[in-house]
Amino acid sequence: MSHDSHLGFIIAAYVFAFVIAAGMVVTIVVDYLNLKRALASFSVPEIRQDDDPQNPNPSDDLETRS
Amino acid sequence: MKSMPNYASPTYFLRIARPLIPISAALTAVLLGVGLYLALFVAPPDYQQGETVKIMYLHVPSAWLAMLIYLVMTSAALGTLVWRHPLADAAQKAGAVLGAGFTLLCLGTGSLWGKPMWGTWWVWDARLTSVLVLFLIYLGLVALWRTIEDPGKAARAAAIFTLVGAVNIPIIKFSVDWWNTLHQPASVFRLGGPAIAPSMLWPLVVMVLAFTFLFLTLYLLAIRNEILRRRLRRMSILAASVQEQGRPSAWEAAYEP
Repeated sequence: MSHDSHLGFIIAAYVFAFVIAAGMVVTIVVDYLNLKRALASFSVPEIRQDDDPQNPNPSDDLETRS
Repeated sequence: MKSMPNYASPTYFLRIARPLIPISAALTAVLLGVGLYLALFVAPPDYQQGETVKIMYLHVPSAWLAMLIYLVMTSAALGTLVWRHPLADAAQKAGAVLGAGFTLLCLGTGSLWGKPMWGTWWVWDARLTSVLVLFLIYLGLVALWRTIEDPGKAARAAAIFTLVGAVNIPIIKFSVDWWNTLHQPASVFRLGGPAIAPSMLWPLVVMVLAFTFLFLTLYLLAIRNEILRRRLRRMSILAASVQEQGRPSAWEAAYEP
């Protein structure tokens, strides 16, 4: 492969893929850390203590839909 | 027996996502490692393309995901419009950025393959153009979510936009059959089975699985972020309301752990 005349295109494609994938991972992780920090300022855990799987109205932890 | 709404609740999602995320991430790492090894060191060069065929191991999985993510978002859009479920809203929003990312990857790797093989970075071919339209739709959805402040209204607008844009998916898939295109016809997902040699097909299958698990991992993480973002928004609004109206008892009642 090292003698292939198109080696530059192959390397560029793999570098490009790495940059895009790493960019998505970093964006999502940084977003999560920021949200966690902001939620911590309200002194509320990520999943509340009263989260009950039997809760008949579980969607109340998202904004009420109009 | 648990009711269906419980399974679809954000709280239940957070509970099942917690163990699923590391499992999915581990599977992604293993499959990517194996897939890259097979693609770069085991798969033979193509008799026409030579080693440039190695770009296919990135291009095909990203093209597959570009369309799969849109189908997932279309299902979520139906969840928003028909059942008005908040988890469907989160699933829609989380998919848009990932869809844009994988579509950009598809276009970029296709361009890097096209230059040495076709002699040009880009042609206004039906397949390439319809994928570019898909990328623009993803960008439009991201912009829509950022433009409308109210998440419920944004979700409904995005859902309608997504459903209208879904017409582009069969156009992408069948563009190579309906029109004379420079892009080659389907060689993997086609009636009659794959048209490529097993020595190239298996590395491609592993890479497709690796990309799919990468998407699943990122999607679970992104949906979790959206759930937390809405929780934060609601808390911020309530906190501001309490400050303005001076009702600390209501605040305490709502948020005491």
